[in-house]
Amino acid sequence: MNETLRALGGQPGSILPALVVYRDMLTERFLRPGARSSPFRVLGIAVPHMPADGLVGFGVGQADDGYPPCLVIFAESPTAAVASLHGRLGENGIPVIVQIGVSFAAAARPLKGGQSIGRGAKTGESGTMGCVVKDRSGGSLYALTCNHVIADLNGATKGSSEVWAPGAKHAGTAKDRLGVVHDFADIDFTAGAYNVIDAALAKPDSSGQIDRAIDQIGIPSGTNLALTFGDAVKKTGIASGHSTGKYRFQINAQITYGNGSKALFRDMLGIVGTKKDKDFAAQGDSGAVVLDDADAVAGQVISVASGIDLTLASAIKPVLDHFQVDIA
Amino acid sequence: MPMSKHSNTDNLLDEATSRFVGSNGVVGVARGGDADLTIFVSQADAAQERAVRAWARDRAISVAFVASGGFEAGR
Repeated sequence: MNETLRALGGQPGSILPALVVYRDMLTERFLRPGARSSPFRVLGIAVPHMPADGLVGFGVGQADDGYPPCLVIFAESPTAAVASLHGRLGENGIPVIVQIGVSFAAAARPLKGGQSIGRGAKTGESGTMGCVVKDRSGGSLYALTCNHVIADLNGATKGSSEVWAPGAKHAGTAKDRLGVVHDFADIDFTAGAYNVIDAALAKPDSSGQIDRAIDQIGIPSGTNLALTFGDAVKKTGIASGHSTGKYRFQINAQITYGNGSKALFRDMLGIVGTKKDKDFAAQGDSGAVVLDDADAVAGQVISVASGIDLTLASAIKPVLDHFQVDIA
Repeated sequence: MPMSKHSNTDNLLDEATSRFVGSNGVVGVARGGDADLTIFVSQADAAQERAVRAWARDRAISVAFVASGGFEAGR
C-alpha cells in the first residue's frame, strides 16, 4: 500500500484522496477508453491494458460500516477481466472490493421489456421486466416479471406492495415507483413439492408507464408453446443485455434463492448461450422473456446455474394461464 | 413437447427427480443432452454417483454428470 501511495504522491494517512485518484484513472481507462489522461500513464504501470468486459463503474467506499475506505469495482458479471483487475490492484497494495451483479439503469418511461424492475424497498430484489401482458377478461395491462423479483418470495401484499423501476439494485429509489404488485404465483418451498413457474405481475400506476416492446427485440409476435430441442432463442435482460441461445435441456431442478430457501421446479427450459464467452443469462435477468426466431414468447427466465452457461426458464403457457393473461 | 430419444424418459425424469434431486449434491435432472438423462451436481459425491449409475443401468439408460455451483435466483 505505502509504495503505491508514494508513487501517487500521497501519504499513508491520506488514503482517501489517493483512492479517488485511482477511481478517476480507472474510469478514464476502462469506461472512457478514448481518453488518455496524464494519470493514465501512472496507472499503466500497475494495470496493463486488458479488455473491459463486465466493468460498469468505479467508486470509493467502505466494505462495511467502520471499515477503512477502499476502491470499489462495480461489475455486471465475474468476468476474467474483472478478476484480473481485482488481482492486479490487490498485488499493488490497493484496497479493493468487487461488487458483482451491478448495472446502472436510467428510470426509463415507458418501461420496456428487458429493463430493470424490482421490489419497492431499499434492499429489495431487482430483476427484469419480461413483457407486457393483457388481462383476458378486462384488458388491463400488467408488467410480467418473477415472484422473487417483486413479490419477496410470497411476502408481498397484492394491490399495495410497491414496485420500482429501476429496482433498488440498479439505483432505483422511491421516486422510481412504477406501481404495485398486482398478483403473483406462490412458490411452494415444501420438500418434494413441484413448482412450474416463478412469476408475478406489476400493475403500473398508469398504463402509459409500460411499453409492449422488448428492448433490442421489439414487440412480441405471440407465443411459441412447442419449443423443440435445438431451437434458437433470444432474450434481453437488465444484467446481460441481449443474448442468443438454444433450447438444450428439459430440466427438473432445485433452485436456491437469496434467502437460502430452496424450491423444486419441473419442466424447465434449459437454455445455453450460442456466443463464445457470453452466457445466455446472468443474475439479474430473472423475469426476462425468452423468444424464438420469430419473436414469439416461449418462456421466462427464472434462474441461472452457477459456474456454467445454463439458464432455467419456465414455459410461458403455465405463466399466462395462471394469471389468465395473454402477451399484449 | 420436446422430442426424446427414449419414449419413457418422461417417467424416468420424474423418477430420477424424486430419488436424487435435493440430496447429496444433486441439483437437477434433465433430458435433451447427449445422454438419456443429464444429472447436474453441485458437489462431487462418489457414493451418490455410483447410486445414480446403478439406477440407470437397471433401466438400460445412459447418464451424464455435469458439475455446477447449483441453480440460483436472487442471490
